[in-house]
Amino acid sequence: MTALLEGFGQLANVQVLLCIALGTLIGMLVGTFPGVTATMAVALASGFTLTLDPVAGLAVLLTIYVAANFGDRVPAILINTPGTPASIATTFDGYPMAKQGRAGVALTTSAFASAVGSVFGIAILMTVALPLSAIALQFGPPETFALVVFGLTMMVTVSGPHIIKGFAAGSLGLFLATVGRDPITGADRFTFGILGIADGVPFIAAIIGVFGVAEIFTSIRLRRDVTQKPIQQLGRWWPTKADLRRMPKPLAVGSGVGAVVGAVPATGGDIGGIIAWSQAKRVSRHPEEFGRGSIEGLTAADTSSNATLGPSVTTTLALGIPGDSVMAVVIGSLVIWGLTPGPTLFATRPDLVFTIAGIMLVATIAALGLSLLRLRGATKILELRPRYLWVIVLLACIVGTYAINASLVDVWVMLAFGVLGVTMRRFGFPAGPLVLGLILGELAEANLRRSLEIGGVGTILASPIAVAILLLSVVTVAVPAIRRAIAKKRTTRINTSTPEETR
Amino acid sequence: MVQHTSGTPVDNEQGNRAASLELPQQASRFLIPAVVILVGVAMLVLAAALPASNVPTRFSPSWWPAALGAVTVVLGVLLAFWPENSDDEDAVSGDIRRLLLASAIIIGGVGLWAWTSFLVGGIVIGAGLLAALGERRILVLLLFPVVVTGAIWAVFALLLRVPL
Repeated sequence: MTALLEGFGQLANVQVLLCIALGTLIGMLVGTFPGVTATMAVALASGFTLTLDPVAGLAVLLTIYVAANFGDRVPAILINTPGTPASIATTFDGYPMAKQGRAGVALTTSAFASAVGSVFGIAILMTVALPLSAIALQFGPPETFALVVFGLTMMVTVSGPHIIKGFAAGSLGLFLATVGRDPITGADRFTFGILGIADGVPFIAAIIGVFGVAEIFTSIRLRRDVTQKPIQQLGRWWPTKADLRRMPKPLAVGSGVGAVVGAVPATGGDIGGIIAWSQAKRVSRHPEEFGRGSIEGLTAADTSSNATLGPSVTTTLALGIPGDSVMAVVIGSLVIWGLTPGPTLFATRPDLVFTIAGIMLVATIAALGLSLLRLRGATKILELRPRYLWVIVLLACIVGTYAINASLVDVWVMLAFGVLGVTMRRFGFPAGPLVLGLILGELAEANLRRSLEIGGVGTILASPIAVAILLLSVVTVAVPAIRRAIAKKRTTRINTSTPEETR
Repeated sequence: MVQHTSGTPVDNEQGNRAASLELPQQASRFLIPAVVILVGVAMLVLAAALPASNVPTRFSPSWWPAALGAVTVVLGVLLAFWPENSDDEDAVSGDIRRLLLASAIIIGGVGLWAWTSFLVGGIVIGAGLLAALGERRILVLLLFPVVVTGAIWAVFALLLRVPL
């Protein structure tokens, strides 16, 4: 009870509330503008929030995280382009609704569904985070190493169909994490006398490079400097009673799916939304409407993608393994603030759970309020040429990175990672595993070496939890690969048998 | 059964053109695994060059980087046998010249910032990038970078007290 009061009490601060207001505005804008992801915005914001108090800084980062998941519905519904990957499933029914002249209803429904999902996820954070971290406190080096492996394999699996390339990216990230001091002996490694990397690769700079600069560079390379005309006829705003009667089921499906998907390391709102949409279709009385403007499909997808937020934060802070790519960035900031995520964080600062939950709750209310304001001008943002935003983002990336240590070395590191990121994307290597490897590298190495020092591989094999997590990691990689191979074989068989059959 | 006929000069020309278009894909099939293997070998070489630790330990500081290097080499070999061709919309060359120009402007601008101040470097980056991205209106090219650089400078230098 004390922790709850202390946690929420930290929000009664003008600076924190101003940060939430700023974060909401930035998050909504970021979400509304396709091509600028929440990960990119949070990475960028982490550059200047490092000069703030941890609670104020977290207020900015978490509010952008939450609000971007409201703003991204606008382009998904009005121009059939997801503002961030989390609103991919919103396009399935949101855009068809808009084409039918029901854009207003779609926007309102989406806002409320997102808010319900968000609150459900926050409730999970408040109830599960402390017990989960208490369990994780029992984890020793073998279990922690296994958890890192699981986080990395999940990131590789969800980053796309290129498993080998994903592992290669992860391996490079883990290697780059070895720059600096050896975690066991303290010896210098790969610093080449450069002071700026004596404590390791500055990972906020690396993250801004990979998620911010590389994203803009890719857009420049692919000439994405075009705008689409949004649907202008928004129609009525409020759902009818008949619409409302159809919502409880998809709200429940979306909340449930989002809670589970969000808790799995490295998976986020994009996957949650798609799974919830297909599950809601299975249990719906009108599955034929899905994909053609179903209010149930829209509700399930948006509830789920926002319900992943709370569980994702829970996994990140209680276990130290990022729940999604935004959380990977937030971990970087937390480490610099001296709040290293992991089981011990909540053991020493239980109030932090409620501070974070409070920030996310206020952010949800603020984002819902902004979403319901009938700002027709907001649709004008969609008509702005991206080139102006690219220049602003690139300049902010440069200054934000410089602001971390007032060092131009960080800026050069960021640019180098930007070039690395754009090259990787060009050749189909996912960036997520690289960043996760960079962030979790030290944790992986230190815990593996400690385990092996104690009693060799036997130490890991003697831990049922570690073995179970490692087996789960193997399954998460093997199952999709086997499924794809079977599907490919089936397609080849059908293709080769077709001429015979048609003869 | 598909019947193959001898190619006319036109067919041959089309075939040659198709072959020349396929060449980069063929090259990338071997190039990507080769680069991954090279990166792995570089990791191994760097790890081998690390000095031995004074602290008595079963696993030296070079053990983990070397293991990662070996894993990367294996992954490169696997890629050579199971190439993962990308059908992502990002996995095309696109306008490389435009990207190189943008990168050069940013690098030049940051270099200029190191010698002068952020205000100068920022305005050069802003104006240069806008021009490289196709903006041709002089007023926009002059005003937009000044306003954006000024606003960013005000936020960071005045509000957040970052010495720019």
